[in-house]
Amino acid sequence: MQLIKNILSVSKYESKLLLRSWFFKVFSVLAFLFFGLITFIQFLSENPESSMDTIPSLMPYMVSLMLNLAQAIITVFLASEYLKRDKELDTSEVFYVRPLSNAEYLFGKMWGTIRVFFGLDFIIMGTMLVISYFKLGAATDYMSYLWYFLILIVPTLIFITGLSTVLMMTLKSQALTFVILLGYIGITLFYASDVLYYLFDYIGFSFPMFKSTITGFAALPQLLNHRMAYLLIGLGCIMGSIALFGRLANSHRSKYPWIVLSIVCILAGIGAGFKHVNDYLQKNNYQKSIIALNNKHVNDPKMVIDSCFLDIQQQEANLNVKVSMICVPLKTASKYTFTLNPGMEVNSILSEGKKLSFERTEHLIIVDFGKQIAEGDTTSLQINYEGIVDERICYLDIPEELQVTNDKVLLMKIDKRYAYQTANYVLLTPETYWYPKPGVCYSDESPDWQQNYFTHYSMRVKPNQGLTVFSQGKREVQDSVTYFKPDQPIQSLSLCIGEYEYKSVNVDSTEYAIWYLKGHDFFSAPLDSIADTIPSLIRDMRTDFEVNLQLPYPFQRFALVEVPAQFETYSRAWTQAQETVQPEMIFLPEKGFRLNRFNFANQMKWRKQSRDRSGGGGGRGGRGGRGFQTQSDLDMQLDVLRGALRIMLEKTGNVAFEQGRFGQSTVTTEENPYYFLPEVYNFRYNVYSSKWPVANRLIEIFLQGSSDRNWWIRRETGLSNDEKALLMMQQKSFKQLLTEVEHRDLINNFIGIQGNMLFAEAQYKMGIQVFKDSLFNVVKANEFKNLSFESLLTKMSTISGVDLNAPLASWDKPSKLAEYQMGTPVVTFIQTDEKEIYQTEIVISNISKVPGYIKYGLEFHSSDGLGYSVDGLKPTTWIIPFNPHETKHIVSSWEEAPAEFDIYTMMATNLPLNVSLSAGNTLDGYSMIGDGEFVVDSNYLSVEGEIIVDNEDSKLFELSEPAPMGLLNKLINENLDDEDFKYHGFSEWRAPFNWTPTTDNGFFGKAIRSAYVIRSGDGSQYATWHVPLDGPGTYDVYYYVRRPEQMRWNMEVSVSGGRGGRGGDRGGRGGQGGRDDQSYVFSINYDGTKEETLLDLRRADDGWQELGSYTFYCDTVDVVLSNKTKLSTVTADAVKFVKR
Amino acid sequence: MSIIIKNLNKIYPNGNHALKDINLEIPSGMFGLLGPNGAGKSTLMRILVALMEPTSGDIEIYGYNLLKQRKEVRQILGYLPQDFRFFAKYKVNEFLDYAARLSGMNNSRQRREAINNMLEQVGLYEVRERYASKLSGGMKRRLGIAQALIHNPKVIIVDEPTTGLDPEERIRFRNLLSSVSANDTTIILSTHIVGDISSSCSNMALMNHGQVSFVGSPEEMLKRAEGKVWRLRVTNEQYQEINKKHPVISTIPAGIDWEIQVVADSMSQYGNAEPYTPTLEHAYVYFMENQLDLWMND
Repeated sequence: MQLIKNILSVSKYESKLLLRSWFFKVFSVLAFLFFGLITFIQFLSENPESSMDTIPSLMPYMVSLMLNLAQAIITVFLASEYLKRDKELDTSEVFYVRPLSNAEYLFGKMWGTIRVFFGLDFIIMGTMLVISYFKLGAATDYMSYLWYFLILIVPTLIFITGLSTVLMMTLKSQALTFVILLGYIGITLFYASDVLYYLFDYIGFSFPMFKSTITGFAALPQLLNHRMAYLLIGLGCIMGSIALFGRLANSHRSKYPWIVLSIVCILAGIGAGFKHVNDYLQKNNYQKSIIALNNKHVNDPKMVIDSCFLDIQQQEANLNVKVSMICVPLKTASKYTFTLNPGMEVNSILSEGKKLSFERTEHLIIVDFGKQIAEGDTTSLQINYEGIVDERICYLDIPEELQVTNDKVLLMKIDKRYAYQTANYVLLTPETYWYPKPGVCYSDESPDWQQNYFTHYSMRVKPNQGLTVFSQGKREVQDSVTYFKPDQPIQSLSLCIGEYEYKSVNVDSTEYAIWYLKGHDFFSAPLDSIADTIPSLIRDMRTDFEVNLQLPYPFQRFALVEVPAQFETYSRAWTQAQETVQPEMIFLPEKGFRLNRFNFANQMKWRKQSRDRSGGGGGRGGRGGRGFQTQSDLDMQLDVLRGALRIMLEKTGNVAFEQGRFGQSTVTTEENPYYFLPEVYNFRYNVYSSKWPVANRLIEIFLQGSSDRNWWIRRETGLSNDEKALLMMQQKSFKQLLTEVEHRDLINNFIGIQGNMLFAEAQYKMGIQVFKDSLFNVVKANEFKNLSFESLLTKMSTISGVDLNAPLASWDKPSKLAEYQMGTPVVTFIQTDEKEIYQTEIVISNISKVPGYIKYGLEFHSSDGLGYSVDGLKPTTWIIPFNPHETKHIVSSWEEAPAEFDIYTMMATNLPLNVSLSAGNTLDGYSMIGDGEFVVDSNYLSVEGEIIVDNEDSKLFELSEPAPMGLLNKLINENLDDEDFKYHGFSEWRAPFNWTPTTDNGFFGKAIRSAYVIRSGDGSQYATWHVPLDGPGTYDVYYYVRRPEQMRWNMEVSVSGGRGGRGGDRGGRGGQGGRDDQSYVFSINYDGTKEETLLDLRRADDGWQELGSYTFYCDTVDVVLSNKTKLSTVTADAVKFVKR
Repeated sequence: MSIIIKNLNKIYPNGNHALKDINLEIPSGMFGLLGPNGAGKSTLMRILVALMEPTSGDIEIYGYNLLKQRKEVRQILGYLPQDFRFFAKYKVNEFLDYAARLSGMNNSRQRREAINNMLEQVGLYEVRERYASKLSGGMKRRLGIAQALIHNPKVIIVDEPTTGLDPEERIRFRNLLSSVSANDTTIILSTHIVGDISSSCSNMALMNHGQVSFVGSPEEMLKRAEGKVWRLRVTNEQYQEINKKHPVISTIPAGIDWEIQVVADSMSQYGNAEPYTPTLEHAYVYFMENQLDLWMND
């Protein structure tokens, strides 16, 4: 056919030109070098931190992604090149006079360009495929290479080729076309990539396209639709360019079909784009409608399901389920509401053999029993249903922006799936409501929806041929049917069906298993030596876990179950159990994807290489830490496995760190989705309350002991999460904050703070640990039972003698916070005839009109972390109550000197909330005061003759005007910080350009230990303290110093070096010795004179440092600190004048 | 007639009336289109090869209506544009192969043979692997004519093909065209070099200011100029005077005087003026000088 021949002829010679261009040659060479390097680093180097070899489709995904990006940019330059060339070369016209059509010519030209890129892609990806085959063997995902080529590269190239050609023809300027298209690429890449659910992401750089080995792409139709949109628009542009092409067409009317086709294609592409957005909006609207429905029915009568038997038959993708339940109404009524996934169609409902009428609206089933059923009676109910679950019902409480934000690995985005139900693979967790549950699902108006109750479940499953079923309970297989029966009542059931295989071992009558998909045994080979050691390892690990979590494991079996990598869960306000953790099992992503510690093969190789390099091997080395340089293979394997399993003991998962404007940064932490605690706590105890659904979480957090002491996060972000939470709790009620989505990352902090305050008085009365133990004992007595929060509080009120129900009334109102001022701690060594003791003293004053509590503790060098003194007799941490404007002198005595005084102000405006004060030098004394908290006069904290002006004093402290900043600087230093909060974090290596308020333990302040920090400069920025004098006289002037981190670290090195520790030969240098100008420059302005004085920070300690003595005759003296110094930052904190 | 042009007009968007009501019938063989720069020759050529659309008028080429049947016309057309210097990075044989493919020569063996023959014919066989951009000016012209001829077109349109060529190349080029025109082919040779027409064209048209001033054979054109060319010996003052009134074609110093050739209706006022047998160049000057509208197509 002449048409094809002409196109191929034109394309052949166009390709020749491209291949002969230096531009393309250089690009190709660079591409090969770059991808070679990437392959080596990510794939061949067996880096234990890399996930690239866990999922075979990752390599083609990453390579396609990078190739696509590079090509998208290069194509802009090359796609319209031939138009320019045709214009410039006078010899081109001899081809224009040939009988080929404009379409043939242009198609040929564009195909000529595109096919060269395709060729390059084939070569690069082919090379990757070969390397992948040698590395992965049979596991190589051949199809993924084709998939990524088709869905990533083809649409992008066609789109950008079409767009650049049509723009070039319209604008008739290649330069203008470049500018517009490169701008467009930049905008879509950096700013608009996730706008409208990735609609503008034509390169596919942000739109997730991860392909699982188990289930393929997460949402293939959606993905194809997105890519089709660009393919169609690209084709439309190409056809449009045929109509616009300057050469006279072979026939007068020949351009009209192309105009029509172009419009049709572009409209179809826009339609696909519209569908893309609409699908998301529909889902969003659907979720809103479900929530509205739940709100309407949240108070409907409901039944507790006492026992439940599910008879399930898998028919292709469909599940056909008969569920027989014994229910107990919580309220007398004739109609009861249940929730079942809306994708499941209910065929019939029976009770006591009689068919019941029911009303089905989306997920709700309102069953009409036809008669009143009394509260507490039991009744049977059988529901027959079938279908495929609709995932849209999942995570109704999770904000949309969080749901559409995808995780990424290097450049690759991982989609999110909440459930799977295909003919080959099923993964259903309670979040899908795949079996009926009483009441409604998520309501944003009433917390009454989310009660969990213990139910006696059992199940019979007939899967599709060749598939294996896994769920909770004792598993028995008879013919093709699998039965499950959990030993205890449990709160939820999950169902996994697939080509699963498993390995199990019984240790001390508990069955431990790993369920993995066929061909996914990634652990046996690298851990081949430990088979005999597994039982003792498990025994050790179980003890380790139980000690760590302070609870025994309650079930008779435990399994790690492999699930597709896209399976996503979220942390919730009311529980720390994510869907990845289910009773008796934890779901792990396929082949341990993204869990580097589960990359056993690389972990082992890396350790062996390290051992071999260090010349070790053979002998048994230390088990912990990095002592593997001398480990045997067996120990190494045990270590690797132990390290992987210990991930389940970590409370915090991913930590995301972002550097923002002016040196400020944001740090967000995620809950660890594999945290084991729910197995020993949440799935065993259930504290419920219809008014306070967070009750269970509150008890859970309280018993765990909330800790918000990630000091480095605080330093980077400026405030700890507890501090942020408290600032908000002053403005909004606890109840209101629990429903707000924008600060959902602080929900645990709201709950933790409120729990601490709820039990503060009782802890004060009983002692922290005694109260905790009592509370835990009450909870433990209700194992696998539903325990009401209100009755729990009543019981604890009786035990502690404190009315614990009363504080709940204040949870509907914003919190009032106390404010404390602390004195300097004093430690005195007292030797008497009988004993030697260290007496500790501190004065703390509540300077607010709000009563409150502080948690007061002492840190000893020999502290074992259990909160008791070295003899184990005396708690080292206790609660101290404060009335409004009450000052207490707190005295305690110990057999050893404390290192630090820790004061946690609980619910106060103090910043930082946790203050650690150094014990300082021990004094010698003779008189013992005796332990206790003594109320003293509030003047106890003030010192006569001292005038202190702090940076918090807005009338007496002043800062220079901010320096004007260039636009580029503003753009580069994008603001990531939360403007809601006054105080910011900073890092010294990227200090702020302008005075920035920050807080730290080491700064001076009554309640807020803050200072302003700025990058050092030319002296144009300064801070001024206007100090009002107490009459004329001679004053000693002091400045409050907190040495910069860099200097602090260097000093430590030099000190430890001097002691022969780390730092070695640097020890003799004496810290910063040899470096000049590490001083702050002050100017003391008084009586019309300016006197400059330097404060050499190398010689200064933290705390008040003298600037000099001056005689003043004026009323006010200005102390001015400039930012001129060779240190990286200058900190403006407080000045003190002491009259002689 | 192989090409019939009727009432052809071309007005550019800027208002320039480049072709004014052109009527021409071009028989097969070599047809010369003579005219000064800006006469509208190239516009006419570009319209004939379907690179440009006329404002009005009709063109029939071997029975095909150019305006409606461009594809058919393009199939029988070979074209060498006026400027043929800048090439994409193709080798000589690739350039020809590309042109041959686009002209529908699908059989690769036959195409290869045709290319080799053509390269032999134009004397470029030895440099067939050289990049076209590296050829000399003459070679480029030859490559240009080779691509125009590669598919044996019925109509070959060459626009100012000999401009810038040295005499030897020019003669070689003319001969090549002449040999092609022997095969019942219509060659339209547009030029402002009179010698190109006189040595190779059996028919010609003269264009000036977008109009056709003359159509016929070169002999007819010469005949029209008979008695209009004079040779005489004049003094310097006389030469200045004549030069103001009439085009002086030749000026040869003769001692203190000049021997000149002048195109004029009469030079009887100068005693020594004698009629001179006109050449085509004299005739061309005669026609240009008189802005003639002497010839009507019918």
